[in-house]
Amino acid sequence: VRAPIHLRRKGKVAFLELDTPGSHINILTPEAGAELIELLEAIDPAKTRIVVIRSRKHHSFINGVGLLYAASMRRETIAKNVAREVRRTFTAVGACRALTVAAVEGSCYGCGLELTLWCDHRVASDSFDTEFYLTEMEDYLFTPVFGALQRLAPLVGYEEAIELALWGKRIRAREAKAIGLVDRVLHHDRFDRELDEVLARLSTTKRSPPPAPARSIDSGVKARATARIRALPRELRPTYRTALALIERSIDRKRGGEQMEEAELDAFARTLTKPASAKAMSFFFVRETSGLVGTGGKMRSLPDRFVIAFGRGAAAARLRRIAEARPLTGVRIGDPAGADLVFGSGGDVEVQIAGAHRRGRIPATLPALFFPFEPEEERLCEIALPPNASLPPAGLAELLRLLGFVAIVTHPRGVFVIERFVSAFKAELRANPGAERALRALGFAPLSRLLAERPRRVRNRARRARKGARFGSLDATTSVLARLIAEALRCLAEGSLQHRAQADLLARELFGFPLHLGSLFQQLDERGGDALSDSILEILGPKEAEACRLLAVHGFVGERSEAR
Amino acid sequence: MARRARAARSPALDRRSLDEKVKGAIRIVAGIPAKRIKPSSTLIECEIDSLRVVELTLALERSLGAPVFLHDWISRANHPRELTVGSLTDYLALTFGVED
Repeated sequence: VRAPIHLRRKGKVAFLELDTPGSHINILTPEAGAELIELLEAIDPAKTRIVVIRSRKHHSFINGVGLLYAASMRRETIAKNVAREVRRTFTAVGACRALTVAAVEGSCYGCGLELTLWCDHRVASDSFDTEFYLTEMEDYLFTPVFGALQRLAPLVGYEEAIELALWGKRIRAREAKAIGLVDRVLHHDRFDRELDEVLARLSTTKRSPPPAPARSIDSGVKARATARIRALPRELRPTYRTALALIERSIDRKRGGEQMEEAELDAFARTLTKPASAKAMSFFFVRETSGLVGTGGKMRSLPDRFVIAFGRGAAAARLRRIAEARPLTGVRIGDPAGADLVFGSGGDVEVQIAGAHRRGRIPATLPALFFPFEPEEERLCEIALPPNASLPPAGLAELLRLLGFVAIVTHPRGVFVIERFVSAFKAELRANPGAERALRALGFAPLSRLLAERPRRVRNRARRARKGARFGSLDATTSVLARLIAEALRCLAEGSLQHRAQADLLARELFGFPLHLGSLFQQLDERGGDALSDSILEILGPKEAEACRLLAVHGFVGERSEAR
Repeated sequence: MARRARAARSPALDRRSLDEKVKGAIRIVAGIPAKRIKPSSTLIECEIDSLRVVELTLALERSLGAPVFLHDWISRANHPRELTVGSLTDYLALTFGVED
């Protein structure tokens, strides 16, 4: 079995290089954590001046601690004890007798970001895939446990700590430098050389890092955060209030470190074991399933060197602007070519791709990229494959992910699948204006960009209907959920989508399907046989027998539907 | 209820063939020899992490011909140590109505 961490020495610098075996990303597994502790405790300051923690993966520093552990701990005492044990790795970094440097290239998520907070210095690559993102609250609805709530605010201030820890703000290296999360930004093509220069300078300086600037709780920022928490669905508010309170404690510093650690562990155990968190964690598997289905069920990988070239169409020009604004390690932009985008590796063109934005014709023979919103601002992208292709060009989905997109691979029949979902959603809101308020109350998030595009008369009708809609009423949303599930089932029946996880992900990314409800199809599983099932069957009608057969295959066999 | 009903339409599946399907899926996904896959082996011991759980899900869905919700099983555990091959097979047997 390969070791998850490699020790490499260069003079008085020890490089601890993470390389999770058998994975395209780094996970701070308990084995890796134990090895890191062992290596750090063996550091002799007489022989080692600096310890650098970095990655051997191309695009991942650390992506997390392994959700399998978090998702399988339903008791507070167990969750707290396991977290306390894992935390030893982080405290070992903080207690290291040599200067510690986190050299970040690639995704720095969750506990990966927290690990950097225990280092004396942080440097980061300006490659676009070097992204700092605290996943805990935004993706899983539990509070961070390995130091973020204690250490972020003193480093980046109250407001940024809230943005990062509570609202899951994603930032790249330059912004991280601007707010004080990293000390230096290194050029992605000269990363090793510039890192050596940083290490040379640090080797002649004293151990202690510069004192953190004084931080305070801004009442305006607090009021905004409190108001935003109040607007969340009721069952989520305690988790967010807990996280906010811990950030504030870290600033007023009235309590000692040990008390803070206990409070962080308690909060984690309490929030992790809530039903909302269990539902949110289940979406991790949905998201990953959707990605795997689209790429043939194999782990994603990107060649070391990549070339992409852009054609002359408007969509191509737009894609080019995005790619130029988001430089990536190992990816070079080549000369213009005939199609909207030419995509290949090692300089050999492998495949041509068409691009489309908002509305577009699906090409007969080329894979097409479809962006439903402004691609500079939004994350969602559809890779629509022509009939003769079963999989997208190797690496394309991964490339788009590194460029910041959530890509869904489809086999559309005449219309982009995203367009179909948006049309179905809008049609239902037109027919049932009262649903809008109920959806918002349930936590559906980015509806505004879709709803703003509706004709004025429809918006006015929705406004008038608000008084009539019961707050948080599931009745008002049943019709919308039914419409989306029916459309998803049609897509599955005809093969436009290959797996229900893809529809779940579309519902999340397009309409902000709330994580604490799990996913679209989870709703169907949990409520099969009730009014939701009836609504779906009503929409599909008896003629769509094939789709109804799929209802059964895809987990929908409520008693009433079987009776029909 | 929905999953039990689905199982009722899979009468050909018995416990022994389910055992084989589970072991086969783990072997393919983890790339480890069959002798390492025992009922008491945990997923971690079988080198299956959270990302490979997703691969395992797809492998089981292909093998069983029906949706599989491993998160449902994972979230019933009280500790990662409880996520064993035997526990997974028990869960699937219950879900698909397979009798011993």
